[in-house]
Amino acid sequence: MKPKTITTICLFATAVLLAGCDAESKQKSSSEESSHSHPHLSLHKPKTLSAAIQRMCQMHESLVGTGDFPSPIEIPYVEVIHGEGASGHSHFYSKANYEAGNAGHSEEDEKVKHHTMEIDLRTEMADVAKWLPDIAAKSNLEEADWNSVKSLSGGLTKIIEEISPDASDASFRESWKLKSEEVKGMLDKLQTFSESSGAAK
Amino acid sequence: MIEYFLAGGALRGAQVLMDAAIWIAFGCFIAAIFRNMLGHDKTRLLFGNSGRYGLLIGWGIGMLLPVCSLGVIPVVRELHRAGVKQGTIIAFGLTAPLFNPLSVLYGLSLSDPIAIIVFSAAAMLIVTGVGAVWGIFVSSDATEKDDKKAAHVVAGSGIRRSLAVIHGVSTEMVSWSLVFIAIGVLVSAAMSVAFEHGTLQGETEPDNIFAPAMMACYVTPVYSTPLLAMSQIGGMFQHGNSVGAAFSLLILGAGINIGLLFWFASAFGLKRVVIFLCLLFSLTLGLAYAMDKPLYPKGVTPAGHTHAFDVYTHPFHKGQPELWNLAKGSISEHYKKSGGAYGLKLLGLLMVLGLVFRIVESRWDLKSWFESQQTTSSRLDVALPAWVIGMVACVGLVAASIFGAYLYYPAPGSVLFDLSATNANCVVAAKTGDWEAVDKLVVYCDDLSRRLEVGVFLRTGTVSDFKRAKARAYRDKLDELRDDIAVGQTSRTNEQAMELLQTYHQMSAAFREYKPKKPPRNEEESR
Repeated sequence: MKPKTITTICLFATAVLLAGCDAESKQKSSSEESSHSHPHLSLHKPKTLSAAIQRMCQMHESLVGTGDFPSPIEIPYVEVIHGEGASGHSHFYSKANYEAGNAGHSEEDEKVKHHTMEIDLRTEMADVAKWLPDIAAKSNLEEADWNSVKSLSGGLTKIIEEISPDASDASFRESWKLKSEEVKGMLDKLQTFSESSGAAK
Repeated sequence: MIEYFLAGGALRGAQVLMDAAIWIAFGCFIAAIFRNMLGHDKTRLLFGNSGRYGLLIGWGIGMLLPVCSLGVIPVVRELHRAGVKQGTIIAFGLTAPLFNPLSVLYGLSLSDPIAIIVFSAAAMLIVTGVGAVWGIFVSSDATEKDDKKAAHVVAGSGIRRSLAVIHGVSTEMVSWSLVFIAIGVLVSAAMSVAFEHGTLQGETEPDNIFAPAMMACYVTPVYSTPLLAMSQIGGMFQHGNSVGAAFSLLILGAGINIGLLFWFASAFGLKRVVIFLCLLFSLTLGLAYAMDKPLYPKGVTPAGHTHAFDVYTHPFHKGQPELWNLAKGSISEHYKKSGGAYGLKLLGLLMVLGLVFRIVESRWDLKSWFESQQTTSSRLDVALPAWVIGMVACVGLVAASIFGAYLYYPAPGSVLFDLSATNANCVVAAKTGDWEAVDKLVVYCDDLSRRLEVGVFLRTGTVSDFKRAKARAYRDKLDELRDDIAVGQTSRTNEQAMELLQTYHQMSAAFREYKPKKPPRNEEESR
C-alpha cells in the first residue's frame, strides 16, 4: 500500500471519529440546557459527620412517615466567574457560605451571578450516603470506626441503588419501607459514631 | 506585551529544561552503552530484529528504562544507527517516555490501579499497533537497507572502553540530539505562553465530550515528564475529570513532543511522520473515548475546575508588573526545589566534555584508539566482553531507577517532617494574608501529600482506604483554601487555615499510625 493511500485512510478515520464526537456533544448540550445548568454541584454536602447522619435520619423518617412525599429542597447559590476570556471559569458557593466568606467586600468588581438549584430527596439521599466516608475522613474518627462508616455507607448506597431509578416516588417509598428495618439499624449504628467524630469540619 | 511573552517563555523553557535534564542525561548514557558496549549487532539482537517479537521487546525495554520524551531522542537515534527495525524504534520511542518504575508506582498509588493497568495495556496496544502498521506498510524497504549496514566495531576493553562510553555520552550532548531537544523545549515553552494562565482549568470536565480530543491536540507539542503526567492523571481521578482526557495526556503529553517528531521526520521523512501522527491520534482518541465512561471513578463529585494543567499555560496574568523579576525568582525557586540543579550541572559537564572531545578528535583519531584491544598482563585481569558489561549496565540502570524510587518517595516519617514545616508555613501565610505564598505552598503541600501515599505503597505494597481518605481530605482543604483566595473569598481564611492544620494533624496521625493513649477505664481495677 502506498503512503498516500494510508494517509488518506488515516485522515478519513480521524475525521469520522471527530465528527461522531461532535454529533454526540450536540445532543448532550441541548439536553443539558433543558435540565440543569450546573448539574454536578455538591452544595447540599453536609459539613460534618453528625450533620450528615442527622440529615439521613430526617430523610428516612420523612420517607417512612405517612405525610406527602417530600418536595425538592431549593438551595440558593452564587456563581463567581474567575478570570477572563479563555481562562475564565466559575466557582460555586451556597449563598450563605458566599456571604460569610465575602463579608465586607462589594460585588461590584466581580462577576457574580445568583442561581437556585433544586435537589429532590432521592438524589440528596444517594449523594449524602455516598459522601459519608469523605465527610468522616475530616473528623476525628479512628480507623476502625471510619471503616465501619464506610461499610455502612456502602450498605445504604446499595439499598438506594437497588430501587430502580425509573420508579415513581410512591413506588420508591414502598420499596424503601420494605427495607426500613435494615436502614434503621444502619442509621442507629451511624449515630454511635456521630458523637465520637469530635469537632468535625 | 513583549515582556509578557518573553518572561513567560523564559520561565517555562527553564522549567522544562530543569525537569528534563536528568532524563536527557540518562538517555545519552543509554545511547552510549548501546553504541560502545553492545554494538550494532547485539543491539539489533536485543531488540529482536530477526524475530517476530521486536515490537513487544521494544515496549518491554521502553517500560523499564528511565527516560522522558526528550531523553529518548539520543536513544532512538542510536537504535536507528544500529539498524533496529523502524517499527521497533517507534514502539520503544513511544513507550519509554510513558512509563518507568517511578511513574508506574506513582500511578498505581494515586489513581485507580485498575485504570493504570488498563492505561498500560492500551498503551501497549497503541505502540504495537502503530509499530506493526509502520513495519508492514511503511518501512519494509528501509529495513532491508538497514540490515546491510557495515559491521560496527565496539570499543576495546579496560580504560579505552570506559573512555569510549564517556566520549559517547558527552559527544551526544553536542550532536544533532541537542538540536532536536532544543526544538522540543522551545516549542513547549512557546505553546505554554500562547495560552493565557489557567486556560485549561475548566476544559477537562467529564461532561465535555471534546475533553479527550482537546487534550490530545493541546499536549502533543507540550513537554511533560512521566512523573508530572502521572501526578496530573492522579489529580484528574481525584477531581473527577475526564478519564479519556487523562489517557490523551499520558500518550500524547508524556509520550511525544515536537523535538521527537522532528527527529522522526528527519530520519523517516515528513510523509511518514504525518501517517504516524494520524495513526497515533486515531488510536489514542479511539481508546480514550472507549474508556472515558467505563473507567470513570465511582463516588467522585467533579470539582468543576482543576489547577493541574496551569503549568502548561502562561505562568503570569496579563498586566502583572515586574515580570522579569518574577520570572527570575520563579526560575531560582524551581532550581532549588525541583532537584533540577543536579541534572543541569551534569548536562553542563557533559557538554563541556563533549566539546573537548570534539576538539581532540579533530587532531587525533580517537575512534581507532578506542577500538584497539588492550593486552592483559595478568591472568586474573579477565577482559569481559563489552556486551556483558553493557547488559549489566542496562540492568544496573533499571535497578538504579528502582533505588531512585525509594529516594524520590521517602519513608512516611521523612515526608511528614518536610510536610509539617511546609504546611505550617502555608497556615501562617494564610493567617497573615500572604496570598502569593499560599498559592505556591499549596502546590508543594499537595505534592508532598501524594509522595507520602506513594512512599507507603512502595514500602508496604498497599495504602489503606483510611489513609487514602485522610490524604484526600487534606488535599480538599488545600484546594478549598486556594480557590477561595483566588476569587477573593477571604473572610473565612483564618478559620480555613486552622481547619487545614487540624486536617493535617489527622492525616499525619493516620500515616504515623499514631494512636492517642487512652487512660485506663478503671485504674483501681487494673491495680
